[in-house]
Amino acid sequence: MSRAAHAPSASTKRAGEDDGASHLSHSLHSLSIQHQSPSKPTRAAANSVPDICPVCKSSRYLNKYMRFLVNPECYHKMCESCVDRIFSHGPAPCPIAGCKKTLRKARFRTQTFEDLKVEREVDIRRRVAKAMNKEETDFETLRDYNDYLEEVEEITWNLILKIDVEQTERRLRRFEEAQKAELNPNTVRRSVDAGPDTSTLSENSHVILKKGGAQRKAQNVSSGNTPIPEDEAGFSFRGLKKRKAPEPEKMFDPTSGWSVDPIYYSAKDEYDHKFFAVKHEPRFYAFGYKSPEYYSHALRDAFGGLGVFLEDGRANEEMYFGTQAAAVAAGGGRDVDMNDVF
Amino acid sequence: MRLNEDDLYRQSTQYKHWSFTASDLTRLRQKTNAHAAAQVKLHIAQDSAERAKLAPLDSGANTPNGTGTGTGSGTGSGTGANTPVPGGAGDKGGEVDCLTMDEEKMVVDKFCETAMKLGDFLKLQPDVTCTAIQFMRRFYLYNSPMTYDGTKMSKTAFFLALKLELGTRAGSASDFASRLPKTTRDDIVAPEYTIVQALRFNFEVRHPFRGLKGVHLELEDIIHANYASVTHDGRTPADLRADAFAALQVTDEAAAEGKLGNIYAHAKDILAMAAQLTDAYFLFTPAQILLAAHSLAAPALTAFYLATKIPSSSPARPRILSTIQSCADLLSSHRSFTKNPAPNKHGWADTDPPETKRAMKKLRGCKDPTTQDLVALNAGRKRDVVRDGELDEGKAKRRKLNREKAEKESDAFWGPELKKEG
Repeated sequence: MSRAAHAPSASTKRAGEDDGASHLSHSLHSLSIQHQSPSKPTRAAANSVPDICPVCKSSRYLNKYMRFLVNPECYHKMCESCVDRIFSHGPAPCPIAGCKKTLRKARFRTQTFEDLKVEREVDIRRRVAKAMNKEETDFETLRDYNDYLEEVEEITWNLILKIDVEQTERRLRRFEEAQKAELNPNTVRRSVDAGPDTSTLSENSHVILKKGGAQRKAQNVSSGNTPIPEDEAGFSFRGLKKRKAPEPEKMFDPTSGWSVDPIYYSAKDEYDHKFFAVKHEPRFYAFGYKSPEYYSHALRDAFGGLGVFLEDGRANEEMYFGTQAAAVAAGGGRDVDMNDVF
Repeated sequence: MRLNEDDLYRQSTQYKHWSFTASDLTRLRQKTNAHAAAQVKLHIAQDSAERAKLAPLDSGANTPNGTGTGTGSGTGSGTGANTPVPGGAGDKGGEVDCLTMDEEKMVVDKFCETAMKLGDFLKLQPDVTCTAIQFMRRFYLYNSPMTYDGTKMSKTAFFLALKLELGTRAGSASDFASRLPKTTRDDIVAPEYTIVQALRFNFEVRHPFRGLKGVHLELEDIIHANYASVTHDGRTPADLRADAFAALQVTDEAAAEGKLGNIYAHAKDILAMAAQLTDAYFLFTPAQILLAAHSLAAPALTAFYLATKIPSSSPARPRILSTIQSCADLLSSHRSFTKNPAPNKHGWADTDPPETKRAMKKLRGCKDPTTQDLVALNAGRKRDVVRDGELDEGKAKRRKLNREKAEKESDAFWGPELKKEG
């Protein structure tokens, strides 16, 4: 799951570290899940297809097509009909005893992995990978890139193990915003007014219900408008190359830089003459034809090729083209029939 | 990245594909003539052999035409149906007296003269006529008049030129055919592809007419003393006007304008006749042709005009002047040229020179029998006529099957044909 850098010195180092970290995380992880849902029967964690819904207690025996869904807020399973029943009229608190998370129907889904711990870790990794999407080429040295990868892994594990979640979340969000602003400066203004991010997985960031006015107030004080300490400004990585904005596109030139520069004449816009119909008949101008166009065309024709001497011959004189070439290619010099209607 | 007028002209197909040196032109015509003569001899020999073979079979039922050479009595099959009667001297010895290159050129000139008259008869704009004539001249560079008949080709050339110059206003082939005597739509359409192919799909013809108007725009400007173009010697517009009056031999503006109008008309006539009926378009650029015509119409004025354009210090000047002079020589050598504008423009074309008459007579005896019925040929290309092994068996069979299938399908759609009562 971790992205390994392709340098021998770095990869050995990382391999060892990964082992240690995952070993440690494994034990901590199992602890944390148990801590989170003490009411859940341990059997359910082992057996991925429970037969009885923990909410309505209806069993598979009665309903053959029962499906269990989870919400990534708290990963509590419940059957589809419970979800319909409880969350159809908008967000509501989780019905499992002891869990006060506010859940929305739209975010319920069938679980992908048998183990909910894995499911949660995959979700977190996906989210972090989306924000931390730097590549090796974005860094000045390989060392910097490896440091960056390490930090990414640290953030991921902080979130998984619920260490400093709130602070990490905030910094991650700020980093994301900074990235977005760098890519497209116009998005900054919009994101300033946006409410608190509801897609976070953090423990403390509840979805705010309309009823809970007091709660909203508290939230605002704690997260939004307090001055940010220096270290909370977002993540910064050493050796990250400055992003260069792409050059603005050049103005399109239909003549690609060519211009006509006559030797023998300079056409005027207006000529005083009598015997050309073009000047006096309005029908010539119906479709935007202009008399200056006619004048410059006439003068171009008058001198076009004056200095071209055909008695010199052309550069590629013996040019075979069209049917002649085809006849030569076919041999025998006969005319080639191109008319084949069927 | 800057282009001048000459660079622009070098981009045209007229320069790329239809400009020649005099020797190239001769060589090309010789090649075409030699090739066409060989084909004509071969085809006439084949044709008479075929007749000789058929004659004994037919002789019982048909007129006893003799066992001999088959003098084109109309019993021939398919393509030989309207074969011209070969000249008496020609096919006796199996040797046909073909046109030489010079005779071919005379014949083509005659075709073009006829085309010019046809343009007058149809009351077409001069540019349509001139385009058609140039199409003919270009076509007969790579094809011989022995192979393709001029009168048939000219009709189609006119139709093409009409479509080119008028676009959608040209009308359909049937409309055009109805304006011509004894012509059907098929006569117009049949040689179209042949011509277009010989033109290498280069439809643009750069005529000198618009350029002539450009020259007169500037000349009028000079006369009105508001000429503000490039001048290399410090002459003021007033000086230029005085010089122009001197060249025109007039003293006031009105007279100068009248004279300019006459010069324009004369130069235009030269361009519309002499330039079309000589090789001028192949040997010179439009600018050279029009200045040559202008110098024929008004030598002093043209010399003055050129002097304002090309400084005497310019290295290209002698070359340009000599080229214009040689073009003028070519134009004035044509029999249509007159020093002063003639009242009857086409009077000269009523009588042919004796050599042309002789060549036209000779042409009657050496036409290629396989390409005379163009309508049938065109139909044959589209149907499954097998001509001297040209179409291989499989292809013919496939076409026949396809056609039959198509016919059957159309039958199924509309139902079988109703039986006639009685």
